[in-house]
Amino acid sequence: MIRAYVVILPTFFVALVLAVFPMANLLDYIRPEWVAMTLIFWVLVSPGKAGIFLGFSMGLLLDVLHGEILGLNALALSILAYLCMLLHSRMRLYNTVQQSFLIFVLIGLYLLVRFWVESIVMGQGKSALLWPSLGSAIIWPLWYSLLFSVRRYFRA
Amino acid sequence: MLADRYLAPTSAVRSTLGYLIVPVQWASSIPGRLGLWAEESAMSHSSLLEDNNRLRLESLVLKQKVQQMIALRAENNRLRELLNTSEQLDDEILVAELIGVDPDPYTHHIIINKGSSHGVFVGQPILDAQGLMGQVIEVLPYTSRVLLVADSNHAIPVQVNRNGVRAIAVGSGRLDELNLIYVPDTADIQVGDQLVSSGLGSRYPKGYPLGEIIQVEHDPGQPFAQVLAKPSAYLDRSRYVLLVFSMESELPSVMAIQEAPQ
Repeated sequence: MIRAYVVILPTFFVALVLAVFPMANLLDYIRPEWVAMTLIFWVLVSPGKAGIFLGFSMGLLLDVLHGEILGLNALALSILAYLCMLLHSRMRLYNTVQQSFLIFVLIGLYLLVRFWVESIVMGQGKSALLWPSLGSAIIWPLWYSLLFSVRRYFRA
Repeated sequence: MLADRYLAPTSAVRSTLGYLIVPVQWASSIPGRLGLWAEESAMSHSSLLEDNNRLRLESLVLKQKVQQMIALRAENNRLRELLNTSEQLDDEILVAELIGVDPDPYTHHIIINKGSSHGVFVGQPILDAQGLMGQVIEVLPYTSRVLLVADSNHAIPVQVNRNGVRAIAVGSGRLDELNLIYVPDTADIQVGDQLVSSGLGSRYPKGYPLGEIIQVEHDPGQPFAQVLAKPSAYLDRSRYVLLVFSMESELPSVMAIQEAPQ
């Protein structure tokens, strides 16, 4: 159990770094949602270890990192983790393209929840939904296989 | 989330989580610092010598200006005393390094490497060597978040250096453009005028350069003139920024006026 978290937490660290990593201006618009994708991966492969609580805590860190209202990403990632727990057995059977498409929808939903909550609380939200989801869907096969080999290497 | 918006205590949670965030921010700034280090170590001996000479000359010139400044400031303060206004004091500054830029392309925030443990506070003005950059909007233990003047959520009271016409400069969301709003068509503002902070609103200290007017347009269909300015600070290039600890009380306080002999 602890051994698994020794692997899971560093991958989230990398995802958090990637989430604030400076990028060229245009690439910024399709920056994949690294933390959300990492969460989806871990819920997908080991739903017993990663779940809503992990999503909540990583969401809090992401909130502080992005300087957004505290709990925004925490709520959205918790919902995302719950959705993935419902979907994981089905998602494992999908091939890469189907998975990518599902990622597009899931990340879109995650961004939509974030947008809704932000616009309720703050009166305005960041309405970039499509491009980050697309970026995530494109990078997903790569990220998936990378995390998968990491997981197999460390037998987490 | 509503609690975060409307209650104060969550800032404690935020700053505690801020400690966990430090390594992430540190790691994300590695490539930039590596580049800087490579650039510095690859510099040739001769260009360093050249730099050194140039800087020495510059320092000499600046020292001469400071000598003049001392006399002028003393004179200014004496005149202010005659006018019964408060004395103008030096601003204290703290140098900070930029360690991150907000990944969101729709906002203009930067992260600097000084935080509440260095005495940074929310609302503190930030400068670079060319002019005003923005203000601190969030303080964590070792880092803080700065809202740049070009952000569309930012506005700053300014005045034209040439004649003191006042206006409000609002960020346009683009790094090289500021809008001056509510400028009457008859206002005396021309292309090339320098804008300085007016100190009204008591957030920014008075007299720091903000930008230069690049376009004035009089459209008969619009109630106000459309005036564009270009920020003088290098909003997208400056690596080192100055945090101003404002010591001056620019406006004569009400008490001082009441106590003055009639």
